[in-house]
Amino acid sequence: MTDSLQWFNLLEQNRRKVIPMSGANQIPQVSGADPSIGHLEEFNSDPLLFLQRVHKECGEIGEFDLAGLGTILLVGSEAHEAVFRANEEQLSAAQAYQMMIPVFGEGIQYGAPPHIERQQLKIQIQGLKHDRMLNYAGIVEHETTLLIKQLGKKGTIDVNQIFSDLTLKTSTHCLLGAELRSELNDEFSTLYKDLENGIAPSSLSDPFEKNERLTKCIRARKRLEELIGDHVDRRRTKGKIYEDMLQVYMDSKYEDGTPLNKAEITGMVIWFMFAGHHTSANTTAWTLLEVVKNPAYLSKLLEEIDQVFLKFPTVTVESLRELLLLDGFIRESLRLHPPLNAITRRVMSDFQYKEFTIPTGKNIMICPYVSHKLEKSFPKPLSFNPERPSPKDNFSEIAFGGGRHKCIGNGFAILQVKTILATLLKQYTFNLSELPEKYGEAMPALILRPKDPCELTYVKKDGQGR
Amino acid sequence: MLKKTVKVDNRLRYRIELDHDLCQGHSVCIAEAPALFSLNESNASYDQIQLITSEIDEEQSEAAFRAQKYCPNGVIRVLPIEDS
Ligand code: HEM
Ligand code: SF4
Repeated sequence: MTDSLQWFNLLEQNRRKVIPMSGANQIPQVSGADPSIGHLEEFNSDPLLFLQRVHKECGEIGEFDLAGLGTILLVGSEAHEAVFRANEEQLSAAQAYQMMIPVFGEGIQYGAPPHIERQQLKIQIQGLKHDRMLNYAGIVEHETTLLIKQLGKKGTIDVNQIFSDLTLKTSTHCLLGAELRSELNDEFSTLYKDLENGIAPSSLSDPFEKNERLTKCIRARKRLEELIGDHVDRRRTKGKIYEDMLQVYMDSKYEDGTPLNKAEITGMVIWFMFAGHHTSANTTAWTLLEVVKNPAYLSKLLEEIDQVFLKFPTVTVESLRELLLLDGFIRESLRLHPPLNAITRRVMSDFQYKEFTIPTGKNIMICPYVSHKLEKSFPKPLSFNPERPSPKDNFSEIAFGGGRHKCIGNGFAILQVKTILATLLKQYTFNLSELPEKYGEAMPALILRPKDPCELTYVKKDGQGR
Repeated sequence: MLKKTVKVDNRLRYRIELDHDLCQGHSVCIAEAPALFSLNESNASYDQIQLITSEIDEEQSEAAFRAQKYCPNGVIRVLPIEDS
């Protein structure tokens, strides 16, 4: 977008052209479709810019075309609620997310029949119940303390890299146990990266497109299956019981009494890591960046952290609950920089929203990045305000989605980000190493994160040097 | 964005409303108020929260509000009972 005035003029002309003046129930179509591939190229090159344009041009509901796949963007809490409450028979997540099958493997999540997927999801949530959460805070604090030992007195960090590494360790440790965490070698991280790179904006419209990305991804999955499979065998031989997710997978049975096989266990591990790792890493990075960029709240935030650490010497679920302003910082960062922005459903039978009928076969998309900037839901939406009151309803703030498919890891994610940041901010002062405007956004692999390089300098607070 | 906090008003009596569509069986509510909630093994994707009693007595009000506050999915609403 080089000339914004020209762009706006074009937009105005198109607005007149595309929105039907009569026939109130026709879904507004966004302008600029290429006759053969529709808006695919524009969507793939910058999904967020494109979705913002769809909303600006069409409002609450607008249709675009991804190479023949008609997609309807719905914006606003009322629309979100309608979509999030609809059942799978009407709006299907499974059909919309077929691109996850090569990553997780056949027979897992959306690669499995719905009644199996439902049981697998139930198994996943076993490891995220409240009683398990009590263990996780201590583990995340321990891993952050190990990082602090490496950081030393002062230096520069790249927040993307440092939090990607750290959350890979915390997630693996909490979910798969201390042993696998200690075996976390370069091979594991590389394989894992290959898996993540398997997904790109184009995967939405063409999930099984043959390319090098996908080939690498499938190879990485195979190798991970070997590594995790060996680990499961070793555990079974030892016969010791562990307090982690892997143990939950190993011990769980489907309703008919069959246990999960090794391919399924691997798939469950990848599913879980995939959903939780980069989303949490990016949220940690964004939040720290916002802490540094908003010094007006800093002394209050540090005061809160100091008070809580005085009262509770170690991090616990209780102590985290008292970090209200830090919680506000995280949620406000999630509002302005939501990691997942193409929440999608396939319409399985005509879906009525207000006066519009969305026909079977189309996709519906919800984009937190767009919806979180609605003036109606968030007054002065572009300003960062960690003390902003939460909206009254359950469907305006949707960084974790909503309803039936809402993120089951949302409590764990907040616990993790809070623990990492409280532990770091207690010991270090951070500063931008570049001018604020140099810190932008990037969205590789469909997950929004700070643009590389994203560096901060840090120095240990007085009296805490080693 | 700050989480909502609601204060208990000791002069009021409260009831609980649940939005079952949103419950994913995390069981935070049970940890906060075991006298009020239990989980029901369900055939759906998630086990579902169930009310043990619809009447909240005075000592339970604080716990009910904590469950409302800490349920990660906004399932629980604690509402004053209107005087009739
Ligand atoms: C800040 C971090 C996170 C963000 C922003 C996030 C966001 C989301 C969103 C938007 C969805 C809904 C997708 C949809 O409706 O189509 C979702 C689903 C999910 N998330 Fe997260 N997530 C995060 C962390 C985690 C973590 C840490 C875990 C696991 C420990 C996790 C596990 C899942 C799972 C299993 C689902 C699928 C639920 C279903 O299909 O019913 N997420 N997440
Ligand atoms: S009501 Fe909330 S805390 Fe309780 S089980 Fe349901 S989702 Fe979990």
